[in-house]
Amino acid sequence: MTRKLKVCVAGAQVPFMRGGAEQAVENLTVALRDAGHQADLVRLPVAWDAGRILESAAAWRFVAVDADVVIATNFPSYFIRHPHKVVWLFHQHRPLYDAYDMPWSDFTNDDASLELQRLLSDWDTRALEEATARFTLSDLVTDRLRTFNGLSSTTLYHPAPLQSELHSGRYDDYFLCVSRLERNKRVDLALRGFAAAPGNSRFVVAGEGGERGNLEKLAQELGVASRVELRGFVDDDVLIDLFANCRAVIYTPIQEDYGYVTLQAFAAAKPVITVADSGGVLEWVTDGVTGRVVATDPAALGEAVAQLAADAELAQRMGEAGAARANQLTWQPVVETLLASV
Amino acid sequence: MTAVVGLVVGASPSAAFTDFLVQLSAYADVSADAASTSADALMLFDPTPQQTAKAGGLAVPRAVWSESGVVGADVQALGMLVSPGTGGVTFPVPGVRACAVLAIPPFMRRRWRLRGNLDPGLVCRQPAGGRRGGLSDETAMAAVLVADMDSIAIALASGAPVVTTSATALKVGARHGHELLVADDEAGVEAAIAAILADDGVAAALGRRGRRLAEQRLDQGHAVAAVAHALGLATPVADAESLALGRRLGDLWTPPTAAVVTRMARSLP
Repeated sequence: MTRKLKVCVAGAQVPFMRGGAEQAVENLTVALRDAGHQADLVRLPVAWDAGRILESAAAWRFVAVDADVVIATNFPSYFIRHPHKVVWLFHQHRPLYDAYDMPWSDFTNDDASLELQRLLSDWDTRALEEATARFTLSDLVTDRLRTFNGLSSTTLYHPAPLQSELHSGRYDDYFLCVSRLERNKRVDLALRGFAAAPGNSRFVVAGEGGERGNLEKLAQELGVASRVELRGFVDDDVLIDLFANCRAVIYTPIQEDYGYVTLQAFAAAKPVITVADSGGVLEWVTDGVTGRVVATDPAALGEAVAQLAADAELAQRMGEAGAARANQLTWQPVVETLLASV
Repeated sequence: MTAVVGLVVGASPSAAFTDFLVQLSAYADVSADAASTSADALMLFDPTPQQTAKAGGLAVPRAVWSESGVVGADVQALGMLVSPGTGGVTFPVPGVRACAVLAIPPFMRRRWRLRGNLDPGLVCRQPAGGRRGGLSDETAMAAVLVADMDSIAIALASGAPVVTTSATALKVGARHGHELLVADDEAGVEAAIAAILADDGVAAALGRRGRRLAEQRLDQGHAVAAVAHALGLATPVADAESLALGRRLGDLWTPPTAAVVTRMARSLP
């Protein structure tokens, strides 16, 4: 019989914000309990700005946790100290690494900022080295860890939230985009791609964020405002229904760590249209099989949208191929793997 | 009461050994009177067989510093060995403290090179100390360091991927493909440089492991502490980190001059 363990899941959180990482730590905690372990979720707030980022990391060094094992997840929760620290890395502080050149990075190339980057990356490497075992949620995150920190890790896929509730319905004439409306999610690119396709399909966007005003303006400029619906935040029942009846999902983030939207689309047997630099999404979407992978260009996206708008049967075949992949994912092997070294 | 370490010297002490003794004196009084029966431990430098035999008869902890290259089983049996290339605490280069050198990983070096419009594949063949985090500008920014015996410690401490000769690698206990790349002729050096420049992951892993080797085996402070521990000497009060803040940031090798240290200290009651 498997030994029952006291497991603390450590996750950092930006107050009042809820995204994929927050859902993942909650679902992991539930999965650990379902497996018979005593599991609790420990969270500390994090501030992402460069002026306070070191304090956010250092705070975890002072946290004392009495547990058999700690599973640390996102930056900077893995700065926690524990003799049995298992890291299942969702993401590091990307502005320090691959997103250094992105508009949302507040690191610069002056002396003080470069030294801050050096120190934070040194801390990062040391905190991750302490782990008794290292896993990541995607090959992309595994590769970043290898490339920037010189650390090895093993990719461990997990199911998306709502996977068991999502289901296939009709293949109506609308394309769905589910995303926070932030620059790194690049909903504007998805919108431009949709607008580049001829026809009268609709584009439904579920999600809220700081880019909403810009997207409304862009839809007007592109002449598609009458066919675009920015639904804002929608509850789970509505989201499940939107997935169930769309023609396909358009998802074009920049180097996304994992991308629950892809797996949720597949769980609803819908193909995903994405672009070549969307990161972890590409670990699931195979061009022509489970969706379309095109160049990061509105015209190329438009062609893919037009193809699926014209052929609902093709959308269904691709979506069902995706469903066959997504439905293989369960939490049990994730829990067993994370605790195997304890 | 302060412990006493008796000194047994079989040859003229080297500069590195002298430097080592200065640092060891923070842990204990070092007595040149090896015959003293009051010694709590013995430190031997390249001992003769007679000295080795005599020391072996005393019931106190012993450590041996060997630079002769001849390390007999009788010497190893004495206790902890401090000798280049033997797998014990390595201490071959005087004047290098890894904690005084900032570790700069390869991707950060690239950012410095971009800012300075330097060659993306900049190779430094004379790694040296300097003002930029304890490193010369070229050492701090280079994509690859080619080091010899004189520069290997600072090269490894700098966090860069390092290429060196098999003899030098052996002396510091580094392994080809793990902490550095080994090449014994110019063609081999060029091939090693090309291999590092072609794979960021290889560069990052070599830089990280090389730095750890420098911290754990080449750093003078660490080496002295390891020997003192083996000799049963208590940690000097002045070196003890009594504050939780110091311990927590210290195990991340945070420079004491880093602004975050001050900010964290001010945040505590």
